[in-house]
Amino acid sequence: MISAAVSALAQGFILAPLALGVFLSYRILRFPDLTVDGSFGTGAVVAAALMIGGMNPASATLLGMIGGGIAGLCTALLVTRLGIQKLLAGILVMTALYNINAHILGGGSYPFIDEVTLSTYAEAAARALFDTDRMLVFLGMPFSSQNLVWVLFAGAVSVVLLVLLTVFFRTRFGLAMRAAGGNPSAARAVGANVSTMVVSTLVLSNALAALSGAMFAQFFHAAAITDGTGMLVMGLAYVLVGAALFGQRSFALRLLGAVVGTLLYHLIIAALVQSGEVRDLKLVAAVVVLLALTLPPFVRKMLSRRMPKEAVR
Amino acid sequence: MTVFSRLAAKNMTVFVPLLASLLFLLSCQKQEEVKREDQEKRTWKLTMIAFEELRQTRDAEKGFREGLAAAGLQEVDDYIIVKRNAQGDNGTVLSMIDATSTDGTDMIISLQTSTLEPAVKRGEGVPIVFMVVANPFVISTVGQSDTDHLPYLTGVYTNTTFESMMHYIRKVLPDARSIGTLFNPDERNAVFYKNGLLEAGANAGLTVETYGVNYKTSVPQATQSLINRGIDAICQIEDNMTSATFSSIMKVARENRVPVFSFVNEQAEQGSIIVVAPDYTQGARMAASYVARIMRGESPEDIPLGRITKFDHIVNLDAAREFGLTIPQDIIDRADIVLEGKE
Repeated sequence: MISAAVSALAQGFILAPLALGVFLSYRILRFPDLTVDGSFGTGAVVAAALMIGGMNPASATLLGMIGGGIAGLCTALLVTRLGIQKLLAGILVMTALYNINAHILGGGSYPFIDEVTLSTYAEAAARALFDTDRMLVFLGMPFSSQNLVWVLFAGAVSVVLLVLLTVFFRTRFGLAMRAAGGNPSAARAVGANVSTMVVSTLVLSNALAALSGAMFAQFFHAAAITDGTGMLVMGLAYVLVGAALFGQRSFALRLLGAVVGTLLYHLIIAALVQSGEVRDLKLVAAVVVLLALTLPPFVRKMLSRRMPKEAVR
Repeated sequence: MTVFSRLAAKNMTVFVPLLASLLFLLSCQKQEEVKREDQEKRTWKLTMIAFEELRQTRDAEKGFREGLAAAGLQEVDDYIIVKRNAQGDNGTVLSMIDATSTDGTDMIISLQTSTLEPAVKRGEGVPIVFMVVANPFVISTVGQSDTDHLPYLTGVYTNTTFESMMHYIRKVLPDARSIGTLFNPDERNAVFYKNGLLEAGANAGLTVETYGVNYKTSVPQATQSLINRGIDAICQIEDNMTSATFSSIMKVARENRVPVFSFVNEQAEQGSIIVVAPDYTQGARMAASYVARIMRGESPEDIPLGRITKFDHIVNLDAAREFGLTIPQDIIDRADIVLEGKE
């Protein structure tokens, strides 16, 4: 059981940047940006292609992230320069990225065998920290030492991203970005360039998705052009589960909610996998999103009915 | 005159139909000759459609080109190959299949079941020759047997090799009681292979644990769940899903010190102890010989489906050592490739 939980936490933290990216487009620009289905894969394949070429994994991961940012820039330019609807622009770029990613990778998938990846570092770190790159035992239950290293590493990345984003969105530029998404007319009235804000948000959002993609491929020891398929729905599930837990609180707490939502989602999936074969994970994801959307208002309504009127007042 | 007229009339009633029949037969023969000459002279457009590019499809393409050359066919003069790759997308496969009806394709060379299925559904049109397919009969309309199949289709499929693998597992792990495999329940080939493994395992006195998984992110946890059932080894069947995620299966197996046996060549390099993999190059050479026969006028209906008969037996001694196992010498002697001494 601990083994599944550690594996779920590792995956959760690896996909936390994706959740933050989807949060930015969905909560700030108020639309589900389908580009992430492509940019997630772009992060994976750019990093893979560079590591195959001998680049160190940290630099390859960062360049994968930049690749995702460029994908977001394309969507943003379609929206701001050509006046294409946001949803349609996302669909267009996602569709194009499928083939672009295939060209970058030079095929449909590539397993890492001899390449040095972040997993190679995780193995070395596990040996250094725990004297083994295999299983550790806690309360009589074994779990992967490498997965624990991934939890620590990706968890640290998530914390750093949370701090940076919280600080950034308190700056003048960050506040303008939030305003441009929430109320473009008001933002324009106070002198903010809404187009620049849309571009910045989509670049940042897709760069974060690509960072997840690059780490995801290295965690799974293989990159595939289909890696990003369905990631927007997963990202929305993370964000909505987080929102259901944290509600409409401060911006920083809502960001934290997205990360916690990601972890919780993967723990739920891990529990389901442990309980037996789960063939319909995408259906489960859709149901989780549906519950996250419908349960909180329902619970609030039930609570307000049960409370005495005086207490409500 | 009257007698002559009568004779002429009598003979004419016999000769005219005879003459007409003779002329008709001659013209048919001539037309057939012209048709044959046309078939021999024209350059055939062979559209090769793969569902996604894998090591198997690359091997098959290589073998196919070799097979065409061996059949005496020259590229450009006799045929051109137009390669199409759907990059794992079902919708793209359908578009590619549909396009063959209008783009001058003379023959579809279908690689993988995911391509064969829509090609068969599309119905009669240009001939289809398939390869890199585990079992074409999982598509019910293909036919009943190697000789009783659709008239516009022929090809080469893969034999299962589970018996020899069971033999190896028994020799390497004599105390083993159960083995396990992941499979993608959404892939027809995977279900076919899974059932084959269950049968072969039962015949060898081994319990086979199976775990259906159709989502990449669940593969590590599914592998762990499979191992938690107390299996002695993973005997991983071949499907698109687990081939793409084999590295993560291997990682969990290594951490739990559970040895892995499998059926895809490159998985030996990734840590599988013994691999018994069909030689897709040989299968593709056979498929190329079928193509040559069709180009020379034979109907696909008259060409029985073929099966791959050659398998690569690969032993990874480094991996065996890593798992604390000793490979018997007779297995090493029988192996086509022995991997050892990798840094």
